[in-house]
Amino acid sequence: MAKDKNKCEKYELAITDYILGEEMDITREELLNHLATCDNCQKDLTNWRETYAAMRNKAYMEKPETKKKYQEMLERIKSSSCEKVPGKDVNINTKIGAPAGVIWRYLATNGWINVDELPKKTNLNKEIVHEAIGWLGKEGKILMTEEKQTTYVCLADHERKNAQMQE
Amino acid sequence: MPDSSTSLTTSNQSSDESLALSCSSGDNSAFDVLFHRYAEQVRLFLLSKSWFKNDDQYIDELVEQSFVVLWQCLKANKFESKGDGSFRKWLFSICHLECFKQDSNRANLPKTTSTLFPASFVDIPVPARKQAEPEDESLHNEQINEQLKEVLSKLTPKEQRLMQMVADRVKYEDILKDPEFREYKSVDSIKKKIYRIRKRFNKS
Repeated sequence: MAKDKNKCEKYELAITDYILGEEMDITREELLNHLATCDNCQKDLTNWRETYAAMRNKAYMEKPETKKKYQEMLERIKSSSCEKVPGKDVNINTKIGAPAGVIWRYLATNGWINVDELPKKTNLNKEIVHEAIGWLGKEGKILMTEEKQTTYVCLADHERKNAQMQE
Repeated sequence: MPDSSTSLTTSNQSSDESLALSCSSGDNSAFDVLFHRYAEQVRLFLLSKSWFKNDDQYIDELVEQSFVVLWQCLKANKFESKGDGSFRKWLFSICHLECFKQDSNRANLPKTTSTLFPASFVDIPVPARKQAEPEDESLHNEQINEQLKEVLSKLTPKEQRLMQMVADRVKYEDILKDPEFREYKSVDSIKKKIYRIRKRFNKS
């Protein structure tokens, strides 16, 4: 019995290391083989895994920065829009960011242009063009004017300089 | 209009179910109380469940996503009180599903309802406890928390500090460098000390 206990101590030490992510003195296979035949060590692994998770969680949640982080999280949760409409998630970078890049490149080589002409010039659909213009406008990359219900856009000066440097 | 501090005090003593119903009918401070009451337990539950348990930031994202779903469901009047404990059961079912969904997404696995552990994430498996309901698991975690508090309170300040470092995932090598633990001459002695302390958890 005492012999068994000593034999298990080696594996229990390895279990300690395994859960803590430290290097074990035995191989993973050796530990697995032992666990397959030893109920006590299986229980020991479960107990230590659960206890360590609880310890880690407690330590993490007690940190002042975590408390602050969770308070901010609460505010974000409450400002999240209500029930999600069923459907496929949209990657905004792909859906709007990429067309915005196409428009940016077009504007880099052209002056003021009527927004209604952009779909034809860039081969993008009208709806996407309007979303992309909103994206570029929010990022301060374009200038916009309106005349008789027609909207014109043009690349902002600093962006034009960037475009020239890229060339 | 009631004084907000009074309302919060009342809320703090209210049952989960009445808070959930209050939140559904527009009292957002009720949600604050539920969040503060359950955030730690939810995090521990997700930490135990997720395949990415070593990534604290990801676990926080799971917590946030679970509470976002909770918030949205409450606002859509989806909670139906079925007596004491029904909120807790509902909350941990939400967490369980969110964890599975987000883990599958992160691991690029097909979304199935199978609870089998994917082969690419094989941790050392332990069949010691049967698959439990999410709510039972959360209650089990609570028991562990209680035992943990009890054992930690019986440790010497130095042992407590050592276990704090272990919980903060400080490596053996770095513990050795701490002047407080200079009596430990090798990684082996630190390892054995931690082992002996953890055996006390098993006994409790």
